[in-house]
Amino acid sequence: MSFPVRKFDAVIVGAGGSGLRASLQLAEAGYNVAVLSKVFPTRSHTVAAQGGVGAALGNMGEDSWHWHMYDTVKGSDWLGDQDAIEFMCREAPKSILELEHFGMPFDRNEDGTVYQRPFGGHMQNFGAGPAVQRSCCAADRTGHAMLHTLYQRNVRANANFFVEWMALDLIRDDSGQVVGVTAMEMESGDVFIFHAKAVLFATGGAGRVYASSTNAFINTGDGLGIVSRAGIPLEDMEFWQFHPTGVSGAGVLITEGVRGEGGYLLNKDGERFMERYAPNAKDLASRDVVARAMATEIKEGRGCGEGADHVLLKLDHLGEQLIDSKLPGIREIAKKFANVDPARDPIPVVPTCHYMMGGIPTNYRGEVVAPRGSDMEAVVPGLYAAGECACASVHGANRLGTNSLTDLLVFGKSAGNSTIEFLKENKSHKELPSDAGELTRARLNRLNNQTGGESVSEVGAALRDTMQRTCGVFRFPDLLESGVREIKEVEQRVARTEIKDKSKVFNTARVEALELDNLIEVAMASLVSAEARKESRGAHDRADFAERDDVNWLKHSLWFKEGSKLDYKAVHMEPLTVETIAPKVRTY
Amino acid sequence: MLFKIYRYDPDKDAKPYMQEYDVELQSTDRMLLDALIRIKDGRYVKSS
Repeated sequence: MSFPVRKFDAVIVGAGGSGLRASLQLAEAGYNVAVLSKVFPTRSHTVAAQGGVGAALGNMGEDSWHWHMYDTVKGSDWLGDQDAIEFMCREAPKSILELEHFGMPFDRNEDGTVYQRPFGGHMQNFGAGPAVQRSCCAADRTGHAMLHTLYQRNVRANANFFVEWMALDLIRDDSGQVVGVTAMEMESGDVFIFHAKAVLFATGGAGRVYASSTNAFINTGDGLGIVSRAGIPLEDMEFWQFHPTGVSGAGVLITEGVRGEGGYLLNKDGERFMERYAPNAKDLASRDVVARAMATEIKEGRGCGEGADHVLLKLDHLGEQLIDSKLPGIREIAKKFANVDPARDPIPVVPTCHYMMGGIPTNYRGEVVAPRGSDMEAVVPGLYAAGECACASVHGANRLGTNSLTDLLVFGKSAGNSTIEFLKENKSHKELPSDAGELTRARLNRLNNQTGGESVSEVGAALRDTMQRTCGVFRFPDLLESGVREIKEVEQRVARTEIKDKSKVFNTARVEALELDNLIEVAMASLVSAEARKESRGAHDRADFAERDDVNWLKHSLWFKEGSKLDYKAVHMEPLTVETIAPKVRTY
Repeated sequence: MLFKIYRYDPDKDAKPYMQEYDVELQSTDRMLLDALIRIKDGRYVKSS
């Protein structure tokens, strides 16, 4: 018996910022588009984005997309593809104006223009400084406002939402063309085939591979697991961003906008230590730089609190009025999760896993690309990806704050437009292969019939613990080697997880087991790629190879699930219309 | 801490019922969600 089939022009997996931006393009163009989401769209993790979206509007002083491009390339430690970065920075101002016309409630200046705040790594004059105010924001709830705006526009355009549906596997025909996905309706436990002319992944990040993360429980890298099971590699998975300011012990994010508005970090001696690590940018250096400085302070015994395990983020000097108007959500989070009122006392913070720079390899048009023959970047027909799950790559080895929202707006739209082009040339559905859905059936049968296996929560805890211990802010050769060994053992255990509750209706145990199948692919890709990269670049900082090595390592990693093999491809150093920004030493 | 949870499995139960769980909370548990995850993972002292 095969699964029931539903037909759409296009299926979008994920209804966060990039999924909603892409589906809006398709729905407004009149296509029959299905959007699948594990949670109600406005609860997608984009909702947690606080500080703003980067675009060189120049509302607060002089700015240009060329400067934004320079900052992004430098922030990426030259691992970002310069064609994609140029495309993003040039399109960014346009995407903000579009969003404004969609009804996004941005903060305003006196003259009515969109308010922009300073953010880490964003400078004037090609990195020379001083800091530029480039982050367009709606208080400290920018992502929240953005999701609601985009969702309402989608409802208006008649996009079809499948809420609380989980995509399970990709369906490709004999030629490799993507013709659909399988997905489970959580309420009933029933599985369907979504037969489509094109599939677009917008499944967000996978921060839940770490024990301590700012990410929501839903961020399990579903798109990454799905494509790696379908033979598509994952790119640059060794690069994980640790956000400097997660609430100590709780992991909840405190926006970099706090430092943008004038807050700063202190060690136990009350010293503003960032002045030592980044004399120019200080607390507004790139995130990898600030996170390493904090970890060093803690390691050398200058951490705060009983366990000397965190530093302090001071913002009381900004005044209660500014905090309540520009950072109201932060005050609420600090009270709830750290039991301090930041208008009076500093917030205990610690670097916390926040963002996945790597992902599904795409070009700047949002088309998924994978090696075929001698072509390292052959387009996979019918498959698109955008947002955090994709690796275009604009963030390279380290993402600048505000560029995640810029990424999802620009590439959500670009991937949507590429899908439309593909649909114009491919007017009818290609036939489903005879074995469509078999992989999903095999996985579900395995899970239902497993005996003598371990619980999902036990194996999941081992996975998160391995990543946290062996693949953190600082990386050591012995830890990376044992990390690879340990995660391969965890992989064996994931293949034998057992659920006691086999019921169909809203069975979250089954959902979590299926999510673990995706998390393990992400963790394997991360550790294997990290162990192999013998240099320090951006967020990947090795004790045994302390310097960036452009001779041997100015290249993207590609991890393949089959045999857990690695390959490499060149970084795009040629932008679209401007000159290459040549690698140089990165200081702030 | 004692939790009373409203339970219902439409496959098995004729109607919903209350179940009690005695949970030992840790200092790292900040939210109700942390307690619910403990219960779901079976990390409680006893249930009745």
